Amino acid sequence: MENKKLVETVAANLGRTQKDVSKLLEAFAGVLRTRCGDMDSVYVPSFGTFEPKKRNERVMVHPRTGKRMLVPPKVVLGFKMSNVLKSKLK
Amino acid sequence: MDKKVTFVELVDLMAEASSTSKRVCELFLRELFSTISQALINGESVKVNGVGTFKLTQVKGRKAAKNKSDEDSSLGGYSRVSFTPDKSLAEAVNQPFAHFDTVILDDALTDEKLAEIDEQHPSVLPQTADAEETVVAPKEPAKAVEKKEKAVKTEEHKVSTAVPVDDDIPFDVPELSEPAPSPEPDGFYVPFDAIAPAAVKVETPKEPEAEQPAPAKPVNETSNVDADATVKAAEPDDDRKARLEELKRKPMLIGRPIDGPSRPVPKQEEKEEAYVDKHFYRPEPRNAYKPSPEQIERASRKTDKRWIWAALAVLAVGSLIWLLSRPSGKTEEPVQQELAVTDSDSVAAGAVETVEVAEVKKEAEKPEPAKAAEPSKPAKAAESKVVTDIITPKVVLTTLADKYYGSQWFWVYIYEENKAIISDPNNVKPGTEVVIPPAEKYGIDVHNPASLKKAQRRSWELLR
Repeated sequence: MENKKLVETVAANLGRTQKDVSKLLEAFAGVLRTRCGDMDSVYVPSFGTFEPKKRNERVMVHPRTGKRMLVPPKVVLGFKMSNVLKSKLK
Repeated sequence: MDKKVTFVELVDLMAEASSTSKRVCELFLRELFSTISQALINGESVKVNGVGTFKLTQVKGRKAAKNKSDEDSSLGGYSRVSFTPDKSLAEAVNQPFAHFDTVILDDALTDEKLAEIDEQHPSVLPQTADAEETVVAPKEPAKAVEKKEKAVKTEEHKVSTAVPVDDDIPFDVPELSEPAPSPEPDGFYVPFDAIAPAAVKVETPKEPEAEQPAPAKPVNETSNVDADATVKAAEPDDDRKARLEELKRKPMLIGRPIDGPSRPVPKQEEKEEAYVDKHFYRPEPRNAYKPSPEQIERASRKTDKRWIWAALAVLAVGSLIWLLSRPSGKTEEPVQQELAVTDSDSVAAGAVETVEVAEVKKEAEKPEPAKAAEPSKPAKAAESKVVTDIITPKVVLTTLADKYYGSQWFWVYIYEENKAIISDPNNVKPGTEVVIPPAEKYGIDVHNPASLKKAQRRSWELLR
Protein backbone atom coordinates (compact mmCIF):
# COMPACT_ATOMS: atom_id res chain seq x y z
CA MET A 1 0.00 0.00 0.00
CA GLU A 2 1.53 3.24 -1.07
CA ASN A 3 1.29 6.44 0.86
CA LYS A 4 -1.35 7.86 -1.42
CA LYS A 5 -3.71 4.96 -0.97
CA LEU A 6 -3.14 4.95 2.76
CA VAL A 7 -4.07 8.62 2.97
CA GLU A 8 -7.13 7.96 0.86
CA THR A 9 -8.43 5.14 3.01
CA VAL A 10 -7.74 6.92 6.27
CA ALA A 11 -9.44 10.06 4.97
CA ALA A 12 -12.45 8.02 3.86
CA ASN A 13 -12.71 6.26 7.22
CA LEU A 14 -12.36 9.45 9.21
CA GLY A 15 -14.54 11.55 6.95
CA ARG A 16 -11.86 14.17 6.48
CA THR A 17 -10.17 15.61 3.44
CA GLN A 18 -6.99 14.02 2.15
CA LYS A 19 -5.21 17.31 2.67
CA ASP A 20 -6.05 17.24 6.37
CA VAL A 21 -4.94 13.66 6.71
CA SER A 22 -1.63 14.20 4.96
CA LYS A 23 -1.05 17.22 7.18
CA LEU A 24 -1.69 15.13 10.28
CA LEU A 25 0.57 12.42 8.93
CA GLU A 26 3.31 14.98 8.47
CA ALA A 27 2.81 16.16 12.04
CA PHE A 28 3.14 12.61 13.27
CA ALA A 29 6.31 12.11 11.28
CA GLY A 30 7.66 15.34 12.73
CA VAL A 31 6.92 14.23 16.28
CA LEU A 32 8.58 10.90 15.56
CA ARG A 33 11.62 12.69 14.20
CA THR A 34 12.06 14.97 17.17
CA ARG A 35 11.28 12.41 19.85
CA CYS A 36 13.35 9.61 18.37
CA GLY A 37 16.10 12.13 17.63
CA ASP A 38 16.21 12.64 21.40
CA MET A 39 16.57 8.87 21.90
CA ASP A 40 13.04 8.57 23.25
CA SER A 41 10.96 5.63 22.17
CA VAL A 42 7.45 6.26 20.90
CA TYR A 43 4.76 3.79 21.83
CA VAL A 44 1.66 3.30 19.74
CA PRO A 45 -0.85 1.07 21.51
CA SER A 46 -1.73 -2.22 19.86
CA PHE A 47 0.74 -1.53 17.08
CA GLY A 48 4.26 -1.29 18.39
CA THR A 49 7.09 0.81 19.65
CA PHE A 50 9.50 2.92 17.64
CA GLU A 51 12.77 2.89 19.48
CA PRO A 52 16.11 4.30 18.44
CA LYS A 53 19.11 2.14 19.21
CA LYS A 54 22.79 2.88 19.11
CA ARG A 55 24.96 0.58 17.06
CA ASN A 56 28.57 0.54 18.11
CA GLU A 57 31.41 1.15 15.73
CA ARG A 58 32.97 -1.96 14.28
CA VAL A 59 35.62 -3.13 11.90
CA MET A 60 34.23 -4.61 8.74
CA VAL A 61 36.06 -6.47 6.02
CA HIS A 62 34.98 -5.65 2.53
CA PRO A 63 33.95 -8.97 1.04
CA ARG A 64 35.36 -8.28 -2.41
CA THR A 65 38.46 -6.17 -1.90
CA GLY A 66 39.30 -7.66 1.49
CA LYS A 67 40.04 -4.24 2.93
CA ARG A 68 39.35 -3.60 6.52
CA MET A 69 37.08 -0.70 7.23
CA LEU A 70 36.08 1.09 10.37
CA VAL A 71 32.34 1.57 10.34
CA PRO A 72 31.36 4.48 12.58
CA PRO A 73 28.77 4.20 15.33
CA LYS A 74 25.24 5.16 14.43
CA VAL A 75 21.74 5.37 15.78
CA VAL A 76 19.11 3.40 13.94
CA LEU A 77 15.39 3.54 14.45
CA GLY A 78 13.97 0.14 15.26
CA PHE A 79 10.42 -1.02 15.48
CA LYS A 80 9.11 -3.63 17.84
CA MET A 81 5.61 -4.82 17.17
CA SER A 82 3.19 -5.20 20.01
CA ASN A 83 1.70 -8.44 21.24
CA VAL A 84 -1.70 -7.48 19.93
CA LEU A 85 -0.41 -7.11 16.39
CA LYS A 86 1.63 -10.27 16.78
CA SER A 87 -1.38 -12.30 17.79
CA LYS A 88 -3.37 -10.80 14.94
CA LEU A 89 -0.74 -11.75 12.40
CA LYS A 90 -0.69 -15.35 13.50
CA MET B 1 16.39 10.83 26.71
CA ASP B 2 15.59 7.15 26.92
CA LYS B 3 12.04 7.96 27.81
CA LYS B 4 9.02 6.11 26.59
CA VAL B 5 6.55 8.45 24.94
CA THR B 6 3.10 7.18 25.77
CA PHE B 7 0.12 7.46 23.52
CA VAL B 8 -1.32 10.36 25.50
CA GLU B 9 1.93 12.28 25.24
CA LEU B 10 2.16 11.46 21.57
CA VAL B 11 -1.33 12.84 21.01
CA ASP B 12 -0.43 15.96 22.96
CA LEU B 13 2.73 16.50 20.94
CA MET B 14 0.90 15.91 17.70
CA ALA B 15 -1.87 18.31 18.58
CA GLU B 16 0.76 20.91 19.34
CA ALA B 17 2.64 20.28 16.12
CA SER B 18 -0.41 20.24 13.86
CA SER B 19 -2.33 22.91 15.80
CA THR B 20 -5.48 20.81 15.87
CA SER B 21 -7.46 19.35 18.71
CA LYS B 22 -6.26 16.33 20.64
CA ARG B 23 -9.45 14.49 19.79
CA VAL B 24 -8.78 14.77 16.06
CA CYS B 25 -5.20 13.62 16.52
CA GLU B 26 -6.21 10.65 18.64
CA LEU B 27 -8.85 9.50 16.20
CA PHE B 28 -6.43 9.97 13.33
CA LEU B 29 -3.67 7.95 14.99
CA ARG B 30 -6.00 5.12 15.89
CA GLU B 31 -7.41 5.02 12.39
CA LEU B 32 -3.98 5.28 10.78
CA PHE B 33 -2.49 2.39 12.69
CA SER B 34 -5.56 0.21 12.45
CA THR B 35 -5.49 0.64 8.65
CA ILE B 36 -1.78 -0.08 8.56
CA SER B 37 -2.17 -3.21 10.64
CA GLN B 38 -5.14 -4.27 8.57
CA ALA B 39 -3.07 -3.91 5.42
CA LEU B 40 -0.27 -5.87 7.04
CA ILE B 41 -2.68 -8.61 7.99
CA ASN B 42 -3.75 -8.73 4.35
CA GLY B 43 -0.12 -9.32 3.48
CA GLU B 44 0.55 -5.93 1.97
CA SER B 45 3.54 -3.78 2.76
CA VAL B 46 2.74 -0.24 3.71
CA LYS B 47 4.77 2.81 2.86
CA VAL B 48 4.19 5.91 4.93
CA ASN B 49 5.85 9.11 3.78
CA GLY B 50 8.13 10.60 6.39
CA VAL B 51 7.92 7.51 8.57
CA GLY B 52 9.02 4.49 6.60
CA THR B 53 7.97 1.18 5.20
CA PHE B 54 6.32 -1.60 7.14
CA LYS B 55 6.78 -4.99 5.62
CA LEU B 56 5.88 -8.49 6.63
CA THR B 57 8.73 -10.95 6.81
CA GLN B 58 8.35 -14.62 7.44
CA VAL B 59 10.40 -16.18 10.18
CA LYS B 60 10.94 -19.81 9.39
CA GLY B 61 10.21 -22.45 11.92
CA ARG B 62 13.28 -24.12 13.32
CA LYS B 63 14.35 -26.81 15.64
CA ALA B 64 15.02 -25.67 19.14
CA ALA B 65 18.44 -26.21 20.64
CA LYS B 66 18.90 -29.76 21.81
CA ASN B 67 17.46 -30.35 25.18
CA LYS B 68 17.74 -33.36 27.40
CA SER B 69 14.22 -34.56 26.90
CA ASP B 70 13.89 -36.24 23.52
CA GLU B 71 10.66 -34.46 22.72
CA ASP B 72 10.26 -32.97 19.31
CA SER B 73 11.05 -29.36 20.06
CA SER B 74 10.49 -27.42 16.89
CA LEU B 75 9.56 -23.79 16.97
CA GLY B 76 6.84 -22.69 14.65
CA GLY B 77 7.48 -20.03 12.07
CA TYR B 78 5.70 -16.74 12.30
CA SER B 79 5.52 -13.49 10.45
CA ARG B 80 6.89 -10.32 11.87
CA VAL B 81 6.81 -6.72 10.85
CA SER B 82 10.06 -5.29 9.62
CA PHE B 83 10.30 -1.56 9.58
CA THR B 84 12.62 0.45 7.39
CA PRO B 85 12.68 4.07 8.42
CA ASP B 86 12.26 6.77 5.84
CA LYS B 87 15.49 8.44 4.80
CA SER B 88 14.65 11.75 6.44
CA LEU B 89 13.63 10.01 9.65
CA ALA B 90 16.74 7.84 9.70
CA GLU B 91 18.93 10.89 9.18
CA ALA B 92 17.16 12.81 11.92
CA VAL B 93 17.64 9.91 14.31
CA ASN B 94 21.30 9.48 13.37
CA GLN B 95 21.98 13.20 13.78
CA PRO B 96 24.57 12.82 16.57
CA PHE B 97 26.77 10.55 14.42
CA ALA B 98 25.98 12.06 11.04
CA HIS B 99 29.44 13.56 10.54
CA PHE B 100 31.21 10.21 10.74
CA ASP B 101 32.28 8.35 7.64
CA THR B 102 33.42 4.85 7.08
CA VAL B 103 37.22 4.82 7.15
CA ILE B 104 39.38 2.29 5.36
CA LEU B 105 41.95 0.91 7.75
CA ASP B 106 45.07 1.05 5.65
CA ASP B 107 47.43 2.55 8.14
CA ALA B 108 51.21 3.16 7.99
CA LEU B 109 51.90 0.14 10.11
CA THR B 110 51.65 -2.11 7.08
CA ASP B 111 54.74 -0.58 5.49
CA GLU B 112 56.83 -1.16 8.57
CA LYS B 113 55.58 -4.68 8.81
CA LEU B 114 56.46 -5.21 5.21
CA ALA B 115 59.92 -3.82 5.80
CA GLU B 116 60.39 -6.11 8.72
CA ILE B 117 59.26 -9.06 6.70
CA ASP B 118 61.66 -8.05 3.94
CA GLU B 119 64.53 -7.86 6.38
CA GLN B 120 63.74 -11.16 7.98
CA HIS B 121 63.06 -13.07 4.79
CA PRO B 122 64.97 -11.40 1.95
CA SER B 123 64.41 -14.51 -0.14
CA VAL B 124 60.72 -13.85 -0.35
CA LEU B 125 61.30 -11.08 -2.83
CA PRO B 126 58.31 -11.82 -5.01
CA GLN B 127 56.33 -9.92 -2.42
CA THR B 128 57.61 -6.75 -4.05
CA ALA B 129 54.73 -7.23 -6.40
CA ASP B 130 52.50 -6.89 -3.38
CA ALA B 131 54.53 -3.89 -2.35
CA GLU B 132 53.96 -2.29 -5.70
CA GLU B 133 50.31 -2.91 -5.30
CA THR B 134 50.40 -1.29 -1.94
CA VAL B 135 52.23 1.64 -3.45
CA VAL B 136 49.49 2.01 -5.98
CA ALA B 137 46.74 1.40 -3.54
CA PRO B 138 47.51 4.09 -0.96
CA LYS B 139 46.57 6.82 -3.42
CA GLU B 140 42.95 6.50 -2.54
CA PRO B 141 43.30 5.96 1.15
CA ALA B 142 45.89 8.73 1.25
CA LYS B 143 43.18 11.18 0.37
CA ALA B 144 41.03 9.76 3.09
CA VAL B 145 43.93 10.00 5.48
CA GLU B 146 44.53 13.59 4.47
CA LYS B 147 40.92 14.32 5.00
CA LYS B 148 41.11 12.67 8.35
CA GLU B 149 44.13 14.69 9.24
CA LYS B 150 42.37 17.84 8.20
CA ALA B 151 39.39 16.91 10.27
CA VAL B 152 41.63 16.14 13.19
CA LYS B 153 43.44 19.45 12.69
CA THR B 154 40.23 21.40 12.64
CA GLU B 155 39.18 19.60 15.73
CA GLU B 156 42.52 20.41 17.28
CA HIS B 157 42.05 24.02 16.31
CA LYS B 158 38.74 24.05 18.00
CA VAL B 159 40.25 22.46 21.02
CA SER B 160 43.23 24.82 20.98
CA THR B 161 40.96 27.82 20.76
CA ALA B 162 38.89 26.46 23.52
CA VAL B 163 41.65 25.24 25.77
CA PRO B 164 43.66 28.43 26.34
CA VAL B 165 40.57 30.19 27.62
CA ASP B 166 40.05 27.44 30.09
CA ASP B 167 43.68 27.62 31.07
CA ASP B 168 43.59 31.35 31.49
CA ILE B 169 40.73 31.48 33.86
CA PRO B 170 42.18 29.63 36.78
CA PHE B 171 45.43 31.59 36.50
CA ASP B 172 43.86 34.97 36.06
CA VAL B 173 40.99 34.78 38.42
CA PRO B 174 42.99 35.03 41.59
CA GLU B 175 44.95 37.97 40.16
CA LEU B 176 41.81 39.60 38.91
CA SER B 177 39.83 39.22 42.03
CA GLU B 178 42.45 41.15 43.96
CA PRO B 179 43.22 44.05 41.63
CA ALA B 180 39.72 44.08 40.17
CA PRO B 181 38.88 47.57 41.50
CA SER B 182 41.84 49.02 39.53
CA PRO B 183 41.76 47.45 36.06
CA GLU B 184 44.72 48.38 33.89
CA PRO B 185 43.81 50.26 30.74
CA ASP B 186 46.38 48.38 28.62
CA GLY B 187 45.29 46.51 25.50
CA PHE B 188 47.12 43.60 27.02
CA TYR B 189 44.22 42.75 29.23
CA VAL B 190 41.53 42.84 26.59
CA PRO B 191 40.58 39.20 27.18
CA PHE B 192 40.19 40.00 30.83
CA ASP B 193 37.17 42.09 30.06
CA ALA B 194 35.58 38.96 28.74
CA ILE B 195 36.69 37.01 31.74
CA ALA B 196 35.87 39.77 34.20
CA PRO B 197 32.18 38.94 34.36
CA ALA B 198 33.13 35.41 35.24
CA ALA B 199 35.27 36.65 38.07
CA VAL B 200 32.49 38.92 39.21
CA LYS B 201 30.13 36.02 39.01
CA VAL B 202 32.46 34.02 41.14
CA GLU B 203 32.64 36.78 43.67
CA THR B 204 29.01 37.76 43.79
CA PRO B 205 27.59 34.55 45.14
CA LYS B 206 29.91 34.83 48.11
CA GLU B 207 28.57 38.17 49.20
CA PRO B 208 24.95 37.15 49.53
CA GLU B 209 26.15 34.08 51.35
CA ALA B 210 27.99 36.29 53.75
CA GLU B 211 25.00 38.55 54.05
CA GLN B 212 22.46 35.84 54.49
CA PRO B 213 23.68 34.54 57.79
CA ALA B 214 23.73 38.10 59.11
CA PRO B 215 19.98 38.66 58.78
CA ALA B 216 19.45 35.11 59.88
CA LYS B 217 20.94 35.82 63.27
CA PRO B 218 18.55 38.61 64.17
CA VAL B 219 15.72 36.30 63.27
CA ASN B 220 17.06 33.77 65.69
CA GLU B 221 17.40 36.47 68.29
CA THR B 222 13.87 37.61 67.81
CA SER B 223 12.69 34.06 67.98
CA ASN B 224 14.70 33.65 71.15
CA VAL B 225 13.07 36.76 72.51
CA ASP B 226 9.69 35.39 71.58
CA ALA B 227 10.60 32.12 73.12
CA ASP B 228 11.65 33.91 76.29
CA ALA B 229 8.37 35.72 76.35
CA THR B 230 6.51 32.49 75.91
CA VAL B 231 8.67 30.92 78.55
CA LYS B 232 7.67 33.65 80.97
CA ALA B 233 4.06 33.14 80.01
CA ALA B 234 4.37 29.40 80.19
CA GLU B 235 6.29 29.24 83.46
CA PRO B 236 3.24 29.15 85.70
CA ASP B 237 2.00 26.26 83.57
CA ASP B 238 5.20 24.30 83.99
CA ASP B 239 4.19 22.73 87.27
CA ARG B 240 0.92 21.61 85.83
CA LYS B 241 2.72 20.24 82.82
CA ALA B 242 5.05 18.29 85.00
CA ARG B 243 2.10 16.81 86.83
CA LEU B 244 0.34 15.94 83.64
CA GLU B 245 3.47 14.35 82.33
CA GLU B 246 3.72 12.30 85.44
CA LEU B 247 0.13 11.32 85.07
CA LYS B 248 0.80 10.38 81.51
CA ARG B 249 3.87 8.37 82.37
CA LYS B 250 2.23 6.43 85.14
CA PRO B 251 -0.49 4.97 82.99
CA MET B 252 2.18 4.20 80.44
CA LEU B 253 4.03 2.17 82.98
CA ILE B 254 0.90 0.28 83.80
CA GLY B 255 0.24 -0.03 80.12
CA ARG B 256 -3.27 1.37 80.40
CA PRO B 257 -3.57 5.03 79.54
CA ILE B 258 -6.57 6.67 81.15
CA ASP B 259 -9.15 7.49 78.55
CA GLY B 260 -10.18 10.73 80.23
CA PRO B 261 -7.02 12.82 79.98
CA SER B 262 -6.00 11.30 76.67
CA ARG B 263 -8.13 13.83 74.77
CA PRO B 264 -6.68 17.05 76.07
CA VAL B 265 -3.21 15.57 75.74
CA PRO B 266 -2.66 16.38 72.07
CA LYS B 267 -3.18 20.09 72.69
CA GLN B 268 -0.75 19.98 75.55
CA GLU B 269 1.64 18.12 73.35
CA GLU B 270 1.45 20.76 70.64
CA LYS B 271 2.22 23.44 73.16
CA GLU B 272 5.10 21.44 74.43
CA GLU B 273 6.43 20.91 70.94
CA ALA B 274 6.34 24.61 70.22
CA TYR B 275 8.03 25.28 73.51
CA VAL B 276 10.62 22.62 72.86
CA ASP B 277 11.32 23.79 69.34
CA LYS B 278 12.03 27.29 70.51
CA HIS B 279 14.59 26.02 72.95
CA PHE B 280 16.27 23.68 70.49
CA TYR B 281 16.00 20.99 73.04
CA ARG B 282 13.93 17.88 72.94
CA PRO B 283 13.28 16.15 76.25
CA GLU B 284 12.11 12.56 76.57
CA PRO B 285 8.40 13.34 77.19
CA ARG B 286 8.12 13.75 73.44
CA ASN B 287 8.32 10.00 73.19
CA ALA B 288 5.90 9.57 76.03
CA TYR B 289 2.90 10.40 73.89
CA LYS B 290 3.68 7.78 71.30
CA PRO B 291 0.71 5.45 71.40
CA SER B 292 1.70 2.35 73.27
CA PRO B 293 1.67 -0.92 71.31
CA GLU B 294 -1.39 -1.94 73.27
CA GLN B 295 -3.20 1.19 72.16
CA ILE B 296 -2.32 0.53 68.57
CA GLU B 297 -3.40 -3.04 68.95
CA ARG B 298 -6.66 -2.02 70.48
CA ALA B 299 -7.30 0.46 67.69
CA SER B 300 -6.50 -2.14 65.09
CA ARG B 301 -8.70 -4.62 66.90
CA LYS B 302 -11.50 -2.09 66.88
CA THR B 303 -11.13 -1.62 63.16
CA ASP B 304 -10.84 -5.36 62.79
CA LYS B 305 -14.03 -5.81 64.73
CA ARG B 306 -15.71 -3.24 62.57
CA TRP B 307 -14.62 -5.15 59.54
CA ILE B 308 -15.86 -8.37 61.01
CA TRP B 309 -19.18 -6.73 61.80
CA ALA B 310 -19.40 -5.35 58.29
CA ALA B 311 -18.56 -8.75 56.84
CA LEU B 312 -21.14 -10.39 59.08
CA ALA B 313 -23.76 -7.85 58.04
CA VAL B 314 -22.95 -8.45 54.38
CA LEU B 315 -23.16 -12.19 54.95
CA ALA B 316 -26.48 -11.87 56.75
CA VAL B 317 -27.95 -9.69 54.01
CA GLY B 318 -26.59 -12.06 51.38
CA SER B 319 -28.05 -15.12 53.05
CA LEU B 320 -31.40 -13.34 53.48
CA ILE B 321 -31.50 -12.46 49.81
CA TRP B 322 -30.47 -15.99 48.94
CA LEU B 323 -33.18 -17.45 51.13
CA LEU B 324 -35.76 -15.12 49.67
CA SER B 325 -34.64 -15.70 46.14
CA ARG B 326 -34.99 -19.44 46.49
CA PRO B 327 -38.00 -20.84 44.67
CA SER B 328 -40.84 -19.19 46.58
CA GLY B 329 -43.18 -22.18 46.22
CA LYS B 330 -41.11 -24.39 48.49
CA THR B 331 -41.00 -21.92 51.32
CA GLU B 332 -44.67 -21.18 51.02
CA GLU B 333 -45.83 -24.77 50.93
CA PRO B 334 -44.72 -25.73 54.40
CA VAL B 335 -46.39 -22.63 55.76
CA GLN B 336 -49.61 -23.60 54.07
CA GLN B 337 -49.28 -27.13 55.36
CA GLU B 338 -48.83 -25.79 58.83
CA LEU B 339 -51.80 -23.61 58.27
CA ALA B 340 -53.81 -26.60 57.15
CA VAL B 341 -52.72 -28.50 60.21
CA THR B 342 -53.58 -25.63 62.48
CA ASP B 343 -56.88 -25.26 60.67
CA SER B 344 -57.85 -28.86 61.27
CA ASP B 345 -56.68 -28.54 64.83
CA SER B 346 -58.66 -25.42 65.32
CA VAL B 347 -61.77 -27.00 63.87
CA ALA B 348 -61.34 -29.81 66.32
CA ALA B 349 -60.39 -27.70 69.30
CA GLY B 350 -62.75 -24.79 69.17
CA ALA B 351 -63.36 -21.17 68.36
CA VAL B 352 -60.79 -19.74 70.76
CA GLU B 353 -57.92 -21.12 68.78
CA THR B 354 -59.32 -19.93 65.47
CA VAL B 355 -58.44 -16.42 66.57
CA GLU B 356 -54.85 -17.52 66.95
CA VAL B 357 -55.02 -19.25 63.60
CA ALA B 358 -56.30 -16.09 62.06
CA GLU B 359 -53.35 -14.29 63.52
CA VAL B 360 -51.03 -16.92 62.20
CA LYS B 361 -52.68 -16.64 58.83
CA LYS B 362 -52.22 -12.92 58.87
CA GLU B 363 -48.59 -13.39 59.76
CA ALA B 364 -48.21 -15.94 57.06
CA GLU B 365 -49.92 -13.77 54.50
CA LYS B 366 -47.97 -10.66 55.31
CA PRO B 367 -44.55 -11.88 54.26
CA GLU B 368 -45.98 -13.62 51.21
CA PRO B 369 -46.40 -10.55 49.03
CA ALA B 370 -42.89 -9.49 49.95
CA LYS B 371 -41.61 -12.90 49.02
CA ALA B 372 -43.55 -12.84 45.80
CA ALA B 373 -42.20 -9.46 44.89
CA GLU B 374 -38.55 -10.04 45.70
CA PRO B 375 -37.85 -13.28 43.89
CA SER B 376 -39.19 -11.74 40.69
CA LYS B 377 -36.20 -9.41 40.48
CA PRO B 378 -33.48 -12.05 40.59
CA ALA B 379 -35.58 -14.10 38.23
CA LYS B 380 -35.54 -11.24 35.78
CA ALA B 381 -31.82 -10.84 36.30
CA ALA B 382 -31.42 -14.51 35.60
CA GLU B 383 -33.44 -14.18 32.44
CA SER B 384 -31.49 -11.19 31.21
CA LYS B 385 -28.18 -12.53 32.43
CA VAL B 386 -26.74 -11.89 29.02
CA VAL B 387 -26.04 -8.28 29.79
CA THR B 388 -24.95 -6.28 26.82
CA ASP B 389 -23.68 -2.77 26.45
CA ILE B 390 -22.75 -0.62 23.53
CA ILE B 391 -19.34 0.89 23.03
CA THR B 392 -19.33 4.61 22.30
CA PRO B 393 -16.44 7.01 21.89
CA LYS B 394 -16.68 7.76 25.60
CA VAL B 395 -17.58 4.29 26.84
CA VAL B 396 -14.80 1.78 26.31
CA LEU B 397 -13.96 -1.60 27.81
CA THR B 398 -12.35 -0.15 30.91
CA THR B 399 -15.27 2.11 31.70
CA LEU B 400 -17.65 -0.83 31.26
CA ALA B 401 -15.55 -2.94 33.58
CA ASP B 402 -15.56 -0.16 36.10
CA LYS B 403 -19.32 0.11 35.80
CA TYR B 404 -20.16 -3.57 36.10
CA TYR B 405 -17.38 -5.02 38.22
CA GLY B 406 -16.09 -2.03 40.12
CA SER B 407 -12.61 -1.97 38.70
CA GLN B 408 -11.31 -1.09 35.26
CA TRP B 409 -8.79 -3.92 35.41
CA PHE B 410 -11.52 -6.44 34.69
CA TRP B 411 -11.84 -5.19 31.13
CA VAL B 412 -9.78 -8.21 30.08
CA TYR B 413 -12.67 -10.51 30.82
CA ILE B 414 -15.09 -8.45 28.78
CA TYR B 415 -12.54 -8.55 25.98
CA GLU B 416 -12.12 -12.29 26.31
CA GLU B 417 -15.87 -12.80 26.19
CA ASN B 418 -16.10 -10.73 23.03
CA LYS B 419 -12.89 -11.76 21.35
CA ALA B 420 -14.82 -12.68 18.23
CA ILE B 421 -16.16 -9.16 17.78
CA ILE B 422 -13.29 -7.10 19.12
CA SER B 423 -10.13 -7.34 17.11
CA ASP B 424 -8.21 -4.72 19.02
CA PRO B 425 -9.04 -3.99 22.67
CA ASN B 426 -7.47 -0.58 22.42
CA ASN B 427 -9.50 0.43 19.46
CA VAL B 428 -13.02 -0.92 19.67
CA LYS B 429 -15.26 0.57 17.01
CA PRO B 430 -17.99 2.71 18.56
CA GLY B 431 -21.39 1.10 18.22
CA THR B 432 -20.30 -2.49 18.81
CA GLU B 433 -22.51 -4.35 21.22
CA VAL B 434 -20.50 -6.09 23.89
CA VAL B 435 -21.62 -8.99 26.06
CA ILE B 436 -20.83 -8.43 29.71
CA PRO B 437 -20.08 -11.84 31.23
CA PRO B 438 -21.44 -12.64 34.70
CA ALA B 439 -18.89 -11.94 37.38
CA GLU B 440 -18.85 -15.58 38.56
CA LYS B 441 -17.71 -16.88 35.21
CA TYR B 442 -14.21 -15.49 35.54
CA GLY B 443 -14.15 -15.21 39.32
CA ILE B 444 -14.36 -11.46 39.25
CA ASP B 445 -14.31 -9.93 42.69
CA VAL B 446 -13.21 -6.37 43.34
CA HIS B 447 -12.58 -7.04 47.01
CA ASN B 448 -10.33 -9.95 46.32
CA PRO B 449 -6.82 -8.68 45.64
CA ALA B 450 -5.84 -11.99 44.06
CA SER B 451 -8.55 -11.70 41.44
CA LEU B 452 -7.60 -8.10 40.78
CA LYS B 453 -3.95 -9.03 40.42
CA LYS B 454 -4.81 -11.78 38.02
CA ALA B 455 -6.77 -9.38 35.86
CA GLN B 456 -3.90 -6.90 35.90
CA ARG B 457 -1.41 -9.54 34.85
CA ARG B 458 -3.68 -10.62 32.04
CA SER B 459 -4.11 -7.10 30.79
CA TRP B 460 -0.36 -6.50 30.83
CA GLU B 461 0.18 -9.68 28.92
CA LEU B 462 -2.38 -8.67 26.36
CA LEU B 463 -1.07 -5.18 25.82
CA ARG B 464 2.64 -5.76 25.96
